[in-house]
Amino acid sequence: MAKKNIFVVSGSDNVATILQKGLEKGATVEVNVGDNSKFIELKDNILYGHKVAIKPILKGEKILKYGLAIGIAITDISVGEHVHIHNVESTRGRGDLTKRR
Amino acid sequence: MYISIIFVVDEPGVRKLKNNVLMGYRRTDDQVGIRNYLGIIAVMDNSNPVVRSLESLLNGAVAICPGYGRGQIGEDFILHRRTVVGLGSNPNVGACLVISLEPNSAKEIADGIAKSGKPVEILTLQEDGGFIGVLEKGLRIGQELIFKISAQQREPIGFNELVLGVECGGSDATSGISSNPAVGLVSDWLVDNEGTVIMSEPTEWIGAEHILMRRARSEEVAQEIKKCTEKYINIAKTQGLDFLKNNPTMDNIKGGLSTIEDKALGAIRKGGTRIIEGLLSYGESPKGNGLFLMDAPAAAVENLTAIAAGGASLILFSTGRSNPIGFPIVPIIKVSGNRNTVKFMKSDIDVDVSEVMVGSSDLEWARNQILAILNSVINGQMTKNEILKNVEMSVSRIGESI
Repeated sequence: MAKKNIFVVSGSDNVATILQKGLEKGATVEVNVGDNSKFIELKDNILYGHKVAIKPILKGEKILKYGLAIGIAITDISVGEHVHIHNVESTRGRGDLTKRR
Repeated sequence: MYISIIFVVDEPGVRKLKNNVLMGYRRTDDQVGIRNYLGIIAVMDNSNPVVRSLESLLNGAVAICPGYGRGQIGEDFILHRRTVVGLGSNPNVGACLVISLEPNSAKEIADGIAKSGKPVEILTLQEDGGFIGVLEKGLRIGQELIFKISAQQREPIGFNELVLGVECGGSDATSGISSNPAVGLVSDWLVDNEGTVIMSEPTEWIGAEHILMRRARSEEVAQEIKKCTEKYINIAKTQGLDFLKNNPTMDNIKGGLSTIEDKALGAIRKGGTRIIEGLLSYGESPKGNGLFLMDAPAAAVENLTAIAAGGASLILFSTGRSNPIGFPIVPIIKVSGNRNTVKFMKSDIDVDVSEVMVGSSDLEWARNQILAILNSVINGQMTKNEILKNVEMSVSRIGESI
């Protein structure tokens, strides 16, 4: 198996996990999904274990990891951007939203 | 047939499969233990100090100090008593010395544990001469009990007789991709060999409950899983909370997990892919073999306590950023795929599966690494937290004391 610095769990995912330390804005990473491969340029510094968008994601769209929704985008997210709590929200167990209403 | 298909040959970085026999302790209630302790139980927190003193003086004794136990009422009280009986009945405990402030509570716990068929003795602070009286009598009784139970020999056992807990804690992005799925392959392997597996932490089913429901033995079990998950969602709702920063925790977020769904989809992988036979209540023992879920809070110490009270003799604990805690009567095997954790917290991690993260090994390799240690720990090898006595227990509270 080839060494990898980015991990896509499922073919339908729009995010991947960065598995290399110290990857900075401007770095290029190779994303492999099945037999397809593409290069993406990071638009943020991304820490080990954090997620990067590998497809364009619109505000309100589902973030897909493991082929399943892990939340929704609260802003438009472009390929190469860091995907984390600043642009993703959970849709489950949101007692804070119930309270706001 | 007790011969199992496992291993333990260390070559540079490789554990190979070979035939090996599992050895454990058969109990009169047909449970099988992998340790043979005298459990010294503090029924109430006022008995903790004397229990800890006895533990320190008796080789082979382990303190079971669940905390609280006095002033509890209703469902909360019932849960506490039932859990303490479950801990004393765990198959890793060969005999019990039950210590309380007064005889009624001690007798109630002792009677519960005695149903498992193991020797149980009682001492109370009020009727056996206070701290020093209990200490002196406890030493004499404890010595006799250990002298008796330590004569029991390990016997060949089968994987079908094993109850394994699976847990994750201090999770990060590596957990869902390496250590959890590797533990999941062990769960599948054990279920395929007619063993029993317990997975808990229902908060970490939120966003993944539909997958678990699809695997339920019956529609009834599926609905129980749904109801249990909703119970934790409703806790967030009634408190007006977002789970963020509580679960996923701050260390989970730092490790790259963004939402409870993100965490849950990784977390449930430790339970493998087999049919879910049923949902157990807090500390309840599974009836029959196969994979079971348990309703208990996700915080590690409370969750380990519930699974141990349910009769697990061994727990696999998958971790990313590491939570090193162990449990007094059950060996906890820590598995991590985070290279940093494996390197800097080597003294807390038993199995390194980080090669999966860099792609130099696959999950089947990781499964075999875990199975090798599992085999060895069953037969007596101590885990890192066992050696350090880095152990704690805590019974969940579901009501107020008065």
